[in-house]
Amino acid sequence: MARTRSRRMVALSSAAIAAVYFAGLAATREAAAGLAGGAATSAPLSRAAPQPSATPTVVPPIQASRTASSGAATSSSRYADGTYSGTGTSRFGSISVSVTIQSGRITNVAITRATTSFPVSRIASLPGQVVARQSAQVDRVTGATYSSQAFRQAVQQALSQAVRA
Amino acid sequence: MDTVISIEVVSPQPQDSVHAAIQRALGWFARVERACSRFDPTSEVQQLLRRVGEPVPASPLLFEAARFALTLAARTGGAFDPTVGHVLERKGFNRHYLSGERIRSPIPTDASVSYRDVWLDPKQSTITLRRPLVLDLGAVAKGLAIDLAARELAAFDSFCIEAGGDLYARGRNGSGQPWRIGVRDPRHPEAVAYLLDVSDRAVCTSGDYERRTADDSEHHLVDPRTGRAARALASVTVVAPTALAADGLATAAFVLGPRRGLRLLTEEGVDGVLITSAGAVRTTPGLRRNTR
Repeated sequence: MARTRSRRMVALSSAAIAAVYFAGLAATREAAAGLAGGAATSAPLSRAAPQPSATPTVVPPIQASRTASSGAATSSSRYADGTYSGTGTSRFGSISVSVTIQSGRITNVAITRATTSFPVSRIASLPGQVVARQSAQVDRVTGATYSSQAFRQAVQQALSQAVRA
Repeated sequence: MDTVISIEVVSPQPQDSVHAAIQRALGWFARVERACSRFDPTSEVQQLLRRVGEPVPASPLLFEAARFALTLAARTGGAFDPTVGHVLERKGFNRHYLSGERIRSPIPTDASVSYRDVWLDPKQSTITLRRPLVLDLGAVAKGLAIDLAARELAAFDSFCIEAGGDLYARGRNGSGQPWRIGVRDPRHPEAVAYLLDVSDRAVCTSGDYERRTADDSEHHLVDPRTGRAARALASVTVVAPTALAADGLATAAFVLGPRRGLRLLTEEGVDGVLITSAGAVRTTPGLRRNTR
């Protein structure tokens, strides 16, 4: 491994992110300029009295939408157009989804409800840390991908209703 | 992308503007998937396979994701290699998460390819596959999407974006404290093995427990040099200023193993927690000073 190349990857990543983000901005501006009609006006942000809000804003139903495919939809798709609901569960919670089928393809999957409990019941040997912090509460757990199983179940359940007879 | 995305914003700003920004942030995940998904035959990266041997104009998104992945491959001598995709397909990691359809790229199963078989032209923004190969950007795409989404939320002092166990945390949580992130114990899904307090950092984890073959014999973190799953480590968690770097370096360090992996992270100036298959925890020297 070339030691002269130390500490490059973080800098490279920052450059990559900036390049992609600003290319995206430029594309959006071009698209907006091409549209007839009023420009989007931003309502003046009325700041509340200085209370750093302790209340996280509620995440609206998450849209995991796929861009419509450029290819023509096959007329013999297994799915009938419409919107279908499904629910999946894992031992850590449940997820309900709403799946939209258009022209035989999945065009949108929205999470309509999600309940999860963070796995904080046991802390495996944390020398010094637990004593110092006296707390097992965490905001997030990294490496935990348990919720995707429930999501997959929910989508499959919705799709099973969409299958043409 | 087979992940659930959650975005939490802590802000006194009006809810409307916060929700609008969250929607824009979420939009980046879809864009990244359109460009980089190995499982969608219509994605931009999969289209490269139709034009082997010629320079193909690439979107900034695909180009930068590929450039970062290939640079990391060169940096790690191939321990990390995004051309490992066809090996993953053969092992069964080829199912699209929504449709369940399996993808089968037309590549000879004994093909011996490496990151050196992909050429990038920064001036023309083109990608050339010198040989048929599957470009697997899974190790960097999620991180990149998180960073782009975070960019959309730059107006807010505090937020946390999480996508399937990888995250970026800015500022402080709802209680005014640095975001407290637990590192999942690789062998006990209900337990946390390490605690991190982070602010303005990405935290990404590669673990052997995330995706496994149908017979549970192997996981998806393959050593490109041998074609077999890397075994010495159970998980690597990287803390870095960007999720793109954290995501890629976590995967690379996992393959490199405890000693070389730790060295890679230290040389690159990032922090990390490496948990061996035996359950031992190793950390970079800077981790205890993580609280900002």
